[in-house]
Amino acid sequence: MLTIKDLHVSIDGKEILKGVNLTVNPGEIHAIMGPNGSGKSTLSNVIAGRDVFEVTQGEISFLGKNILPLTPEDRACEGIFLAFQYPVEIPGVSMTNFMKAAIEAKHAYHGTTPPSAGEFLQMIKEKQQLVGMSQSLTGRAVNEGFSGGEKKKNDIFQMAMLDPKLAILDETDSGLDIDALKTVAEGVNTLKTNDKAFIVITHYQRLLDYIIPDFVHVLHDGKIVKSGDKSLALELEEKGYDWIK
Amino acid sequence: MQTITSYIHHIQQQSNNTQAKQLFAEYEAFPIPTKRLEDWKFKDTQDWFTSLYTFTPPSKITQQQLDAAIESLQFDALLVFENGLYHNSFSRPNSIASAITNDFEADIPHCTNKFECASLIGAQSGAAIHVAAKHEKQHVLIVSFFQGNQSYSLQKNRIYVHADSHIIITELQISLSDEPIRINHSVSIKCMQKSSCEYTSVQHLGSKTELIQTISCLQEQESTCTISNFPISGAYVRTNVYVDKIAPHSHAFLHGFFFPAAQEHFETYVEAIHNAPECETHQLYQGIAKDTGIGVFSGKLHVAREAQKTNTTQNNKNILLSKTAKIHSKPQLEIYADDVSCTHGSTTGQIDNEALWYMQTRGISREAATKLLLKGFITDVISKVSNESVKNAIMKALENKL
Ligand SMILES: Nc1ncnc2c1ncn2[C@@H]1O[C@H](COP(=O)(O)OP(=O)(O)OP(=O)(O)O)[C@@H](O)[C@H]1O
Ligand SMILES: [Mg+2]
Repeated sequence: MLTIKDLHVSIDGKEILKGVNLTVNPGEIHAIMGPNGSGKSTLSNVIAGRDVFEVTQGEISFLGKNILPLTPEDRACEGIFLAFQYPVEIPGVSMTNFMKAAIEAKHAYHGTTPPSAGEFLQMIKEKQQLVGMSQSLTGRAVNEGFSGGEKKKNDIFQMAMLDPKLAILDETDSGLDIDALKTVAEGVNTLKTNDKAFIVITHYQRLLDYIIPDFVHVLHDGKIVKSGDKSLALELEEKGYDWIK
Repeated sequence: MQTITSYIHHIQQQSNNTQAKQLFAEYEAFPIPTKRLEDWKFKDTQDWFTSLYTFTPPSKITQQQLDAAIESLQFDALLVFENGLYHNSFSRPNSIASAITNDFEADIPHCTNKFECASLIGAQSGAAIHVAAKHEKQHVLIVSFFQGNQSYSLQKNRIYVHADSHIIITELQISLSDEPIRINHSVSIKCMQKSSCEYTSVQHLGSKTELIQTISCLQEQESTCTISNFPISGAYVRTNVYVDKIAPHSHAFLHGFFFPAAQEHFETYVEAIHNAPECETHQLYQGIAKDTGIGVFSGKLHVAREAQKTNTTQNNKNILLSKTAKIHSKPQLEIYADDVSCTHGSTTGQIDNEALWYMQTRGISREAATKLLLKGFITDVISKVSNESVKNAIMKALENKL
């Protein structure tokens, strides 16, 4: 589904990703861990298409298609979703208008009919319940004045609404209380099907008790230096990153 | 063809009214604004005084033009003017709204600037709105048309809102051609005890039309005055908003949105005078500028020593969409009382790239995301307009500029 080959990425002439290789197949959950500043968010931003980062070498293909020339919006319509480490506040734009624009864009891209106003509202209601987001939040401007945890939940709500094929969750667990963490994880597990994949970036083994990964990778200084199964996360929790370097 | 000074000089000479003579003396006392004066430094208005103009071009507007202008709007009374003269057949006056007939009324206020003096002396007509005590709230629509090559129009609207009564007024100023047109307009509002007045001013002007207007409001005890201005198009639109609180517990809400594009230049100069205690003034002005558009916001606040417990806020947020667009923002506070709360904030920046990026990752194109973001920005101010039909019309006009 997602194939990354020898990916090198720079910003302002500084190399941040130094040859990343990663293959994600449908139905898989990959966890990426690694110390602060190792390039985890950079990798997720580059997959989603942020243009401030320069890809100097390597390839990213998604569902057999080279996505490097695609705009972020086209990548989203192709089925890539990024839950932000720091979701952005958009004053003056209501959650409803935001989601409506996103859903309509997706349908326009695929030439399909968008849901009717009634269906759309019904969908909002369902997905809200799924991720345990309070109804009052969808009546407000996007993330404006939301608490840290509410913003994270909102990203998961948006993921549920847009139903992506590949979702990258960048430290979605940071800032969530234990109940919220469980609800979000349940949401992810409900959305998980055989044709979908998740990349879960986290610092804590705790999240992986709820979202069980098939693979765990350690990103260090712009490279994946170790890959393993779920037990690698436990080992990291115990020993830290020093032994890998 | 003559200059504005010779035109109004002639009018005050012919009139035996002492008010006219007094206003003319005030007019003469104000210097001709030059860019050296702090309040006039962004636009040269010399030619308003030195050029020769036609003051009463023949009438031209048609019923179709009026219908197109008021199409979607709801109102209780309609007053139509063309180049400052009342249009009897097109108007639908009622018991509270009609046109000024007598030239000078008893308590004409002092003028606050040279343009306002000229308008008060030279205008032959304008809206006359007298809301009697405890009258139910109505919406009066004023449509003022302007046309005529090298024409100069003067109009004055007078609004008296008596104690315990309420009124909503919307004025559309429309120029019908791309000829050089000058409009000098004044609105004098008096809000008596416990009354309220909401005045919304909207300009749809041609590419060579310049308009300068002063909207002033004198506020008595516990009155509420809301003044909003929305220049939609025109070469130059300057609105001076002046509120003067002479008794306690009077509140003013002042709003505006300016969106200069191409060569447009829009200015709002606000002055709030607090002479009595426990009054409030809340200002919200926002702007977007693109191409080589220029926007100016100046917000002056004067709190006298006796105006204790004054509470004011001033907010000015601007977005520049191009490197060549400019917005100047100037808050000025003069506070002589010690027990007051007066806050102000001003920001001018580019469109929020992080917000655009966030929306793009949800599949929304950069262009659509920009529109959504700017629409949200505009809505902040437009939502202050209480008449739904007016609100929607302004929103639509501004969205068309995006
Ligand atoms: N816009 C930017 N400009 C300059 N440097 C950047 C930029 N974005 C990221 N970097 C740098 O790239 C490196 C990797 O950052 P990144 O955010 O990808 O790390 P991370 O692994 O997500 O860290 P954390 O665990 O703290 O979230 C850091 O050294 C960071 O300072
Ligand atoms: Mg990060």
